[in-house]
Amino acid sequence: MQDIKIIKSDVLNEQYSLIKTDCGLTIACYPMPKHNGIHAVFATNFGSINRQFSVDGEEYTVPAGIAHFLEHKMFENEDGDAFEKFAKTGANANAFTSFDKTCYIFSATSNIDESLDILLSFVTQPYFTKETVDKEQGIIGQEIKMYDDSASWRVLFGILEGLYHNHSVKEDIAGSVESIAEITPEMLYKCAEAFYSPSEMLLSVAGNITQQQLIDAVERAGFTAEKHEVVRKRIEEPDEIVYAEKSINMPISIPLVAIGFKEKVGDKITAKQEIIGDIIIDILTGSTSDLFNKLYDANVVNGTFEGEVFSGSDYYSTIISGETNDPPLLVSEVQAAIDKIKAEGISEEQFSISKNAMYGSMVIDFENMEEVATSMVNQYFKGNTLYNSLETFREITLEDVNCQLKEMFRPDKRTVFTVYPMEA
Amino acid sequence: MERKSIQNNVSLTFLPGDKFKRNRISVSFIVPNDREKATMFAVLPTLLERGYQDYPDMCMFSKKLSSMYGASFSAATAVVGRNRYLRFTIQGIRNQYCLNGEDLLAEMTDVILGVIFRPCVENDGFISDWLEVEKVKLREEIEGEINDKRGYCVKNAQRKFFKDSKNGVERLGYPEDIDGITPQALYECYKQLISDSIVEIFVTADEDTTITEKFTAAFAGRKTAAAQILPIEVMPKTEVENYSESLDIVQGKVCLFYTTERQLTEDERYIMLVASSIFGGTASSRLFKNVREKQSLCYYCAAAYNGFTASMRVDSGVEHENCDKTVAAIQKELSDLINGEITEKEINETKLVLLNSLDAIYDGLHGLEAWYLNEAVRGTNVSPQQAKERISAVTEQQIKDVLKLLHLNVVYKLTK
Repeated sequence: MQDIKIIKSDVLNEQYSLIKTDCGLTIACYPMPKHNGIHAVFATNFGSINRQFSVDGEEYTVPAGIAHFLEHKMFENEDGDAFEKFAKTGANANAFTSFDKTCYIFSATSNIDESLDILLSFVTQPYFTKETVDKEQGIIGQEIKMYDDSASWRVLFGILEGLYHNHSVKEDIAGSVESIAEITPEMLYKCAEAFYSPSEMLLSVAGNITQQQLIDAVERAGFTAEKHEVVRKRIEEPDEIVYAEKSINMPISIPLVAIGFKEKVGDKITAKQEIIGDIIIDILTGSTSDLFNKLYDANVVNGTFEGEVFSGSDYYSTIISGETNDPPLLVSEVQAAIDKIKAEGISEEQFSISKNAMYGSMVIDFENMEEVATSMVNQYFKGNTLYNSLETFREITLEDVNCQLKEMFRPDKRTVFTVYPMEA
Repeated sequence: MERKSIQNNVSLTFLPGDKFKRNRISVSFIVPNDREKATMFAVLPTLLERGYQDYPDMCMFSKKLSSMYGASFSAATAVVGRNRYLRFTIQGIRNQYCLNGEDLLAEMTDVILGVIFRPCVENDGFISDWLEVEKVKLREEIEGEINDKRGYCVKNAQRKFFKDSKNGVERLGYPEDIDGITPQALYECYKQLISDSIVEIFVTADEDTTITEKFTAAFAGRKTAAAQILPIEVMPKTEVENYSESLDIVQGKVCLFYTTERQLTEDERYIMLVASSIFGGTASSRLFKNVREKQSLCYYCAAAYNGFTASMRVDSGVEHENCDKTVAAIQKELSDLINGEITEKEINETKLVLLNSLDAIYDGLHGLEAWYLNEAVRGTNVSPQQAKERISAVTEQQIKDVLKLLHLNVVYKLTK
């Protein structure tokens, strides 16, 4: 017997289902019958930040980059790698690891059932040997090096290292060449046991699919209900930052600077907090902002200038970044704009323009199969429904926004990280 | 799909859009990719994108778009073979999702036509202050090429490969030409673009209320004396040219450019699509399986065939000391395909990937638009469905035959 829950949206006049199967696996099915294909995501709530956890009461601390390492190795089992199997069905398959989850994905327009079988079989049949682990260390080492040459990647982690003392979000998702050298097959088996049991995972599919097809696929996979008591340890993170300023040099043409603020975190970051953060950042730094328009026309910034809310279940920061020939001037202009908006508050007009645009962007998210399937994963792991943001958003008032604004952008919780071109 | 000519050299294609949440309108002006005008065509879209007579200020125009439920507008340029596109695009949510009963599609049509036909001008030229700002931005963007190491290596290899051909005229133009651009000269260039180009309009929408009517009126009375699409120019075979550039980077890069020496026939183009995918276009291709996975020589190694320049590019991210080994391994994989066996399984699986991707074109908001724009430039009118039939018919011998046409002209290495 499956437990099926239908979730509806009045705004979109659409619905999707969440199905809890007997083996403990949850399925999210968003039918888009006019599309030719589907996008499927098989996900676990295990990402780079989950370095300390307990399984059935026993505590573990694992090296940085292990979730990503496991992702690579999961796509391989005793009789070959997943790409080879997917090649037989023509599906376009891939996998990725983020801060808080690991996702195995495929998109396809034919042989859907066969591809679902491959997806479900691979990820739940771990196979690691010392030899294959050693080999993967070389491949992932190359991947880490590729990101080392990206100034925007270095700036992001420069900011996170400046803001966080203990939280694993400051570590590169792939880890470092040194940290992945510590990974052993035993550790990988332990992580797989903890985070890859059916009850820890979600199969999320959007497109030309029926819920029965997905239920059948899960039945064919023959999972056994196996439940471990998995507790992700919350790491104590002080409110203080690590450093206020740092810079490095790289072979680039123009300096790249980022300004990050460590925001207050309560027990849990709510959807409302995140949406309000997005509205504030848009009003402060977006294309309609005085700040952007002034700095653009003064040639202080170019089109790379942007602001973002960077958050997860227990971390929340705001980051404003862009290329500039005058990093100190950009930093002081951004700070002045923050001081002004905090002193004056956000106006009704600013709020209504931003809210209008945000409504449009939320509606758009529902046209793309990949976006829908991925959002179902994100919201499910946060304990929300897919339409949660659309609904929460309608309730947000100008007062809510101005209230949260007062708490944000604390001057003593600010870090600045700059990548300068190499010295001549 | 419904395609019609609304004026000499102006076509409007209507594509069904009822499966999407957005409507989309794009207008592409196609002109020869001339060296002399490259820099002006690079700066022009950025200038027009700032606003038009109804919203004569960047901030005002942004606020207008935000109030249209965050409609997005973009103007951009791209080089395709020996031609250049200047493309204006607007996307916004469908009328049924508007909260106050607005006809957003009609508004989107007015905005895109406003940007194209009623730009902000002064003294018979574009606004001088705006131009000066955009010139700085263009220079920064050109200089910023080095920031993306993979793209930088590919572009440098491409320069060596295309030499003085129009195929290689820079999309962003040339830094030495920037200072000389005046508001008046650029305005003349704009007027010429509007009158002497091939125009392809694509509308992906759930309804056509007044779009066709408005576009027909806007292009009425247009002169199109000099409009033409230049045919493909194939690069001649040369001795292999080896280049090496030193840069302080963590991961080395290598890029190879091959020419087919002659233009491929329509049938051969589809065969090459299958051949290049087997070589390095999928996650089960020879380059991925052998060079990346088995030999662990690199993190990525991919091949892509460009039908508009009759060329194949392979690029790879490698350990510095493995650069030469990787080049040799890539060449060996190509030679093995030509001289060794290509299994039926390999061919069928690759075809399946391609057939899937052709079906998937219908699922993206601009998938069909991109497909038919390329068809228009090529002078063909093949649907993705018809392309599937041609791909299905490709044989092993045909694959070997087209791969034999490939000749390596350039190897470009970026290393410490």
